[in-house]
Amino acid sequence: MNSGKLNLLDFSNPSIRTLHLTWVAFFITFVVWFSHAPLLAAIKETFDLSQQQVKALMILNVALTIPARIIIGILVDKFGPRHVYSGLLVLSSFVCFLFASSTSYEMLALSRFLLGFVGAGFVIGIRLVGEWFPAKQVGLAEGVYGGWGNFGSAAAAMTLPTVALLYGGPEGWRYAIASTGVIALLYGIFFYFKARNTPKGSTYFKPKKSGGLEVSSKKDFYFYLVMNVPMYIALAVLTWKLGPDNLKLLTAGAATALWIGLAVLFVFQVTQIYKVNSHLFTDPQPESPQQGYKFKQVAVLDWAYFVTFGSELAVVSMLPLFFMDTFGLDAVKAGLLASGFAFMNLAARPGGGWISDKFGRKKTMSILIAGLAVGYLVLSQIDAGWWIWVAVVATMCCSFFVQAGEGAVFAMVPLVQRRMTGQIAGMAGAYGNVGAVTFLTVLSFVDASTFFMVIAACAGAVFVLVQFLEEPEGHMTEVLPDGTVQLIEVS
Amino acid sequence: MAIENTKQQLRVSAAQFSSAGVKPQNEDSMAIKIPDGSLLNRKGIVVAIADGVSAAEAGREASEIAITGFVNDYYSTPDSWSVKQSAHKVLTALNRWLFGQGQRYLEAEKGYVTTFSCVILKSRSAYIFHVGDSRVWRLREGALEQMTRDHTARISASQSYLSRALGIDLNLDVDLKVVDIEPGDRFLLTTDGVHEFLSPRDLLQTLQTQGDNLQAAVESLVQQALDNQSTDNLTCQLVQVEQLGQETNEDVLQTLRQLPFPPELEVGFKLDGWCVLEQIHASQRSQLYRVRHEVSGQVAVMKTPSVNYVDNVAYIERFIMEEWVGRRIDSPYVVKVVDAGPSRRFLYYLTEDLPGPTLAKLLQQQHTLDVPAVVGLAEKLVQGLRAFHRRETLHQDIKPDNIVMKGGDPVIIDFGSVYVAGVDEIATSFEREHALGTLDYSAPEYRLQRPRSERSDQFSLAVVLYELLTGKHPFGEAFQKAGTAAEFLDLKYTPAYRRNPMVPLWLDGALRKALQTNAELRYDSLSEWVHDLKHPNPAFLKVEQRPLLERDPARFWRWAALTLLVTNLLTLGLWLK
Repeated sequence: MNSGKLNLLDFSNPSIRTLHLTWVAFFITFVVWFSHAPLLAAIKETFDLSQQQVKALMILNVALTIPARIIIGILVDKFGPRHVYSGLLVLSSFVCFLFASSTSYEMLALSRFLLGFVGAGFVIGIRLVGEWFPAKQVGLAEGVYGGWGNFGSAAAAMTLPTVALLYGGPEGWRYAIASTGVIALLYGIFFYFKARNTPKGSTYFKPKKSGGLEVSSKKDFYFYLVMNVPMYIALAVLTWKLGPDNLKLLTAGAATALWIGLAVLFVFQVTQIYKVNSHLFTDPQPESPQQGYKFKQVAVLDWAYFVTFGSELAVVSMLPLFFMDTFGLDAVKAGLLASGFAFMNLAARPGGGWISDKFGRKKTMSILIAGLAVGYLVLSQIDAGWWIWVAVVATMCCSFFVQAGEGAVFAMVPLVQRRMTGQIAGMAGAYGNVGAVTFLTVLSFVDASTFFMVIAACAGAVFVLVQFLEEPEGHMTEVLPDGTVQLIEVS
Repeated sequence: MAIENTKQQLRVSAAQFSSAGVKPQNEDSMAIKIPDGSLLNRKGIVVAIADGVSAAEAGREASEIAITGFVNDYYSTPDSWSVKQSAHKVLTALNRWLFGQGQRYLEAEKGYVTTFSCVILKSRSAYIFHVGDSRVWRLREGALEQMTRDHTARISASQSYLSRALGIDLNLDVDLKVVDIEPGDRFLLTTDGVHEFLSPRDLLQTLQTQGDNLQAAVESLVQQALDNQSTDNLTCQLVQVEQLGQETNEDVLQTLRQLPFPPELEVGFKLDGWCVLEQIHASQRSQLYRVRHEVSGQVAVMKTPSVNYVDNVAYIERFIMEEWVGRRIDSPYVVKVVDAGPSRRFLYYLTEDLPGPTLAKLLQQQHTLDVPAVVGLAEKLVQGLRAFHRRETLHQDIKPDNIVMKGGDPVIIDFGSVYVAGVDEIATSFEREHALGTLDYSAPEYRLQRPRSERSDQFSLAVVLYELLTGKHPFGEAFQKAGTAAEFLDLKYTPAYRRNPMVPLWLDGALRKALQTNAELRYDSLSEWVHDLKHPNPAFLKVEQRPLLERDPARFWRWAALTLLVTNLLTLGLWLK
């Protein structure tokens, strides 16, 4: 292991073994998380659902993930990645069974809502991979982990309709989803026996301060508070959507209780954030510039992830159904073609990180966001008159920009403030889910074409935001031809 | 960013004199150290005086330890530490050591107690550290000023006691005064044998009449005090500032602390004259490279911090401390720190290159080692550990991977987990998590959050030795999972002779005692343990003959209760009939 390259086939290396173990775990969480998307047509038929009810299912699926990330983060700190990941997989398998054996729309909705928890699995693996790889390799390793794991949604879209057909009958989807549960259960147990929190002989450290991000100035403190508001708005809108005025899944009382709960949670979070940052108010001495960082950087990355990962989750949920409706395809074909969107993950996500490191972060990010804005504009024009293959190529091109953008965001996260990489990554991740909830809520009001246009418009706005990003400091050293490492004097 | 050797350096002249006086033994100690080159710039000049307390049996030894210990340790503190930080940490460690020595005596007044006063002259400042009743004076422009306050409690006109000194209490309160110096300033340090018998006016007069002849001045002061019937040891030191050093040294230290992390190194890269031969290891926290010096050809191992922690102050402080710990410990069985040369432009440190293999490799190849070999290793490793413990330092990470063979000798490596008593635990932003990593070798007290001690290292070494003999862990897999006191008590120890019939009963007894989960029950001292590892201890030979009550109390009481129940029932039956 003498370079920044990873030899992924070197199974004698425990780090590589752990990487494979972990991305497969993440892959399975994604299969489970998006198992419903390619089967929605069948589910819709079984329960005779309205278009609105189907869209509500999609939103429910990503709602719980927002708070779940925070809870999972705390659990990982407390019990270590190994226990939490296997626990998550095993528990999710039972929710899968619940969803598969649903007898009413309420039961479907509840189990989908609970499955949102699985979406938080990402956080666990990031931590685990971070423990196993030295700084030089960790970026690439986490790209592999994220990219290959995300591919799970494509795998689900490609295979599950066929699996459902193999079981046969109008209820075949139940067996298909139950199968993903069985896989999650078995792999959860396997993971428990095979995975280790740290390389042999190392100790698992946990950060002392948690509960909120540390910021460097009073201005950033308020900025940070404001940046937390969208998450609560997303959840509040969702509650309203499910409430008596819309889908009538919640009674008026329950909806009010949820709103109050959200308000209490927000106040609690503000106190937590204050606790971590109280020194800004008690200690007038400003921190040295070397210690501090600009929260602006975090905010821009959050919004960039909002539009990239958020739109990916939303599109992956609705694309199979969209292809079926638009082109009149059967479930298997639609799933297969729609999988093209998530398919790009394999290369685009790690690639985005690589391009970003190579050609400058701000430039890369600008180009990728602009690219995905154009991409979504193109998607919004798709109608029955298009050739199917052109539509598929268009989705794949668009998804390249989306996923490379995700990679570029995560390549930049550690450069904001090394010490808090985990927390910053967590916040960006949460924003990704806020994006998904937002876009899917939009979808529940409008048709697919307008939905794509809304995403494109958001991307346009984020493009402007990205211009406020500051290029992180370059390397302070250079290597002369004879190998001497030289300091670059920074004035 | 290297420290430049400046044209203008601090220059002083100095003299000192000590006499036992009317006493049979001189319990005073003194030292003046004027280093040259960059050390002078970085650490300055130390003038130190100590008066072992006469009531104390070990007064002489205490004052000597204080002076030599201070001078040695102060100059081995990391470059990045300020004078204040360095002196404070060294004094705290010394105090703990002296206090610990004193605890061996039952009566407190026989402890290792000494006064301590010192002046550290650096660039344009004098740092005066003081505890006890020795005195520091400054003579400037014909005026003599006492710079310290005696830490004495007067009980009556004739009797007074030291209220503060090194070795009295675990908590140490040192007075610190920082004053600017000017050319011509003189600092005079005296013990009570001198200043109790000479008035400040006498002192001033002598200093002025002797003029620039410092040696004559100190000798004359001692003589005058003796003439005045001084009843104590007499010691006197005098330094005169000739030329001030350059101004910005403290800033230089600041930049040293901010030395940049080296980039990821590739084979062939050269760093401050060290050429990278290969990467040995890389982890999430640091990288290790084998390097060779371009000029001298010396091969060493370079440890560089991981860029993951580039903005983590606590980590950086900790990293700097590792080198300091390594420099403080001198043993053939502990890896040596290699001097990186005067101009370091990056943050890293060097240790000697050991050919290996590690004990872990050895175990992998041979599965087990034979008994005499293990006993031989044990003796040397214990010596290595004692070198740590003598410096009030715990290694805390003894495991087969951290012991490397150098010829036939084992060498302990890795200062990454050390704990230095008295030096605050620097890693404040991280706390050790319990029972999550692979903790096969760490003593139960770490997981139970109980106080750690030298016995924790003893436990770890015992696990290693057991593994060398048997290839297995003494408590098996269950040890890793145990997290509560009860779970540790439930652990089952498998005697080494059951896994390797060549292990004698008594040797297993010695290992078993060091492997007690309760630290209290392990060996008091490592030397005792080594003795038991080499000589059959009769106490261990009759292990099997112990009464049932001792071997398995639960079973004893179970049977006792059952028997009682049966007899009671019988009695009841008979009585009813």
